[in-house]
Amino acid sequence: MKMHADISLRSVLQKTVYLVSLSLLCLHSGFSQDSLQHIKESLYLQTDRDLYVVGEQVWMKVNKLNAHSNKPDNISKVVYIELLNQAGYPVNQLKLHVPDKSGFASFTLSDTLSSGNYLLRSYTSWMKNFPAQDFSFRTISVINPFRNIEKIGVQKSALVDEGEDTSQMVRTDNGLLFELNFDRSSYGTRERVQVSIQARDSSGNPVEADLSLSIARSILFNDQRANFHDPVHPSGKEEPALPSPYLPELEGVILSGTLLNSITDEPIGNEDIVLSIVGKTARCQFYRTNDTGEFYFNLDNSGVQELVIQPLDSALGDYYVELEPDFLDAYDHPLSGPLYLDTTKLQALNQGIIGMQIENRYEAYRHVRLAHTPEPLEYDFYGDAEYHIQISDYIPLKTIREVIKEIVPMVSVRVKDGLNSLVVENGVDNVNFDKAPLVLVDGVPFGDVDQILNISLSELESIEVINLKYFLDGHVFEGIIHFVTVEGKMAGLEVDHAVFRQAYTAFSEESCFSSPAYNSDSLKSSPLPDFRNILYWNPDLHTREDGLTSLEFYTADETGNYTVFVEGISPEGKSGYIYKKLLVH
Amino acid sequence: MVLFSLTLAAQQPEPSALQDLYQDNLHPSDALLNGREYKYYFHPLLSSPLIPEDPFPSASVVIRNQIYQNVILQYDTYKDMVVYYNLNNRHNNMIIPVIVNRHIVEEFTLRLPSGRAIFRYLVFPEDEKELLSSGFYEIVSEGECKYIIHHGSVKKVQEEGVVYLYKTEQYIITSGAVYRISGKRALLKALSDRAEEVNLYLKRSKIWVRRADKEQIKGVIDYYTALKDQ
Repeated sequence: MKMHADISLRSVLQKTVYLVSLSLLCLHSGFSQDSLQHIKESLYLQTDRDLYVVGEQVWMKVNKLNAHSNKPDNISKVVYIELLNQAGYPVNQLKLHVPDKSGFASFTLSDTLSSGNYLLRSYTSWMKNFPAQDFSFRTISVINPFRNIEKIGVQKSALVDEGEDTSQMVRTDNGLLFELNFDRSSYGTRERVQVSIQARDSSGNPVEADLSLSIARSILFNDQRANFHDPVHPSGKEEPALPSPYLPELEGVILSGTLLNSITDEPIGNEDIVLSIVGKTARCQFYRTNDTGEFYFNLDNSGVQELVIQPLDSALGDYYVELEPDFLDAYDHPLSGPLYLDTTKLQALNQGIIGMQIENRYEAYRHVRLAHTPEPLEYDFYGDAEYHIQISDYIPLKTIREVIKEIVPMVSVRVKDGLNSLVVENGVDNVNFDKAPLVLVDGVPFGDVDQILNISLSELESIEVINLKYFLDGHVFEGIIHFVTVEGKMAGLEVDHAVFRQAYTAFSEESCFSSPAYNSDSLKSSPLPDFRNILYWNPDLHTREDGLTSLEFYTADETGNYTVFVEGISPEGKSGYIYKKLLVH
Repeated sequence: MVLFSLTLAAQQPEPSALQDLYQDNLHPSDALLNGREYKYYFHPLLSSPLIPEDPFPSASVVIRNQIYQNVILQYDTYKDMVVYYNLNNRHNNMIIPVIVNRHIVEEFTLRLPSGRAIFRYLVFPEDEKELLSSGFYEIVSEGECKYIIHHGSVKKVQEEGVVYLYKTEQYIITSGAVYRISGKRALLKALSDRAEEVNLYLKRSKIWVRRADKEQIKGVIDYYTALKDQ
């Protein structure tokens, strides 16, 4: 109870902060709150099933919708998905890059999770400005057979469905209707299954729908699957929309924060700061903090990267950076009740648990399950340099000072009062620039030239020079020199203690589902066991103009009942789902 | 294999209030002022590789899905660069032209004597012997059959000095292959699977390919695409 009280207090405080921040942001930007409040998004979250065993992956699809029309929309490019435990705290968090109207994601359920019901919560940054009940939720159940399994409640269900009637078909009608057909009535193990799907509207007209399709053991599906908004607040009891301290993420993840004075804790306004990412590619962004010391950067890379945030003026020493959290606080509403397992399904569930363990044991041998990370298009923020000096192309020299003197054009080392500095010759008039150039080491602005000159040459890979004025984000740099090391990790240079350095993940890395295709005798007779609980998952299925689409997949080694589940949405915002039993004997 | 990124125009712009709120907070400074100083390497009174020739040409450019209208842009046909003039970006009372970083330019539109021209950066693989190299091209027709124009210059040393002779080359890209359209024969080769019908269309419309303007060639491409869609 104390925890809930804490959270509620935090919630009230948060709303107060929203109200204050609102006025600042909107006034600063000159926008009326009214015009922005009418722009509302919602999400439609789909999962491959409802029941999982720890160690398995949760496959998800998310459609971005206009909250007023329910039609697919494409405003925010980042979707946040969290898996919340019974206490409302996140046990898994994803930041998903969704450049189109729908996107896909997955995460693995840690074997530290307890058995129980969990809540998937999804939202965008812009949705955070509106009441949390507008977020999209979905409940999933997790079984951890290795931890306190005896604590799971069991109950006897009146609904026993162990029939083998494959013609059974259930569908809902929320304006979108489906027909689902297989090429045969039953299948053997490792056999090909062909599925055809037709989507129609309530008038019977074919629809070009955006679908997801999942085929898994029947035991892993609940009878009712749906998205819901707030699991506690009834619909129609909406709070008025809150004003907006959260910006929409129209490109990538917005990294926001405040620059503060480390002595007074006061915000440092109107200060030029730079965000850089440690690596061989220079990806600097520059920003002048606003009156209240706030800054915003856009990040669009996946995976973990080391961020560096520092003032451009290296003389500013007494400062620190405070970042805003990407995700919201814990969820301050009670979640759905405890997990009860149906006694009639325990045997089938046990098979699923064994299947998961076999699959995990043999996963390393399956070459088809490859993590997929698209290669980001990387280029230095300054484009192609005027001069690129690859150190290995030249005869070995002893020091960087010698390299600059002998090899690097347009750059010289100047010594004044015992301190070294670098000077660049202007390519327009061939006279040295008055101001010091922007000096980077592995993409990070670094002003201590003495330290750079002491980098061992064996650690240096290349030097790039721009000997023209460079204009960016309201700044003018009189030349740029970029030292790139072999490791791309700043060669152990000592950075000022006040400089903000932190590992950060902008987008979660993508993975794609794959399943074996037994399309030859040798594959069909492969000794590698196949006990997949999920036979197939396709989150990117689209019916054509005639409302039709088809696909094929292969059954695994386990016989029994499987369920084919299709759900989706039409361009008009009509949704629906259908499921049908598939018998493998 | 030809790589393109021509889909931007099809994207729905975000509601403008949201876009403005975003731009004002994320990119408060002039988004086009992103690049290095442009160095004049020619004598403007003698010969200029910049198009259009108008000293203050009004153009539009798309950066980060945001359209910037009525900006002063020129295209350097010799060096394949987009040159931007911000009237406030001055030194000693002289406007400093800036080469806009090509990585941020999604599209720009110029008003040329031949009409409105939309340019995008097209990437062609460098490891294969391709007819075209990566760079900015005017996109006249998109879709399965693409019609693009390369605006370039040839440097020539003449008695009066160095001059840059402006020339355009037209290309059709279909089924992953690139065809330079120098005349009727090349056009029919590019559209070979409907060559007969296209030839009849050329005769009927009295189009002399060698002297045809881009709108006429675009009409041929549209006709060819319609045939393919039947």
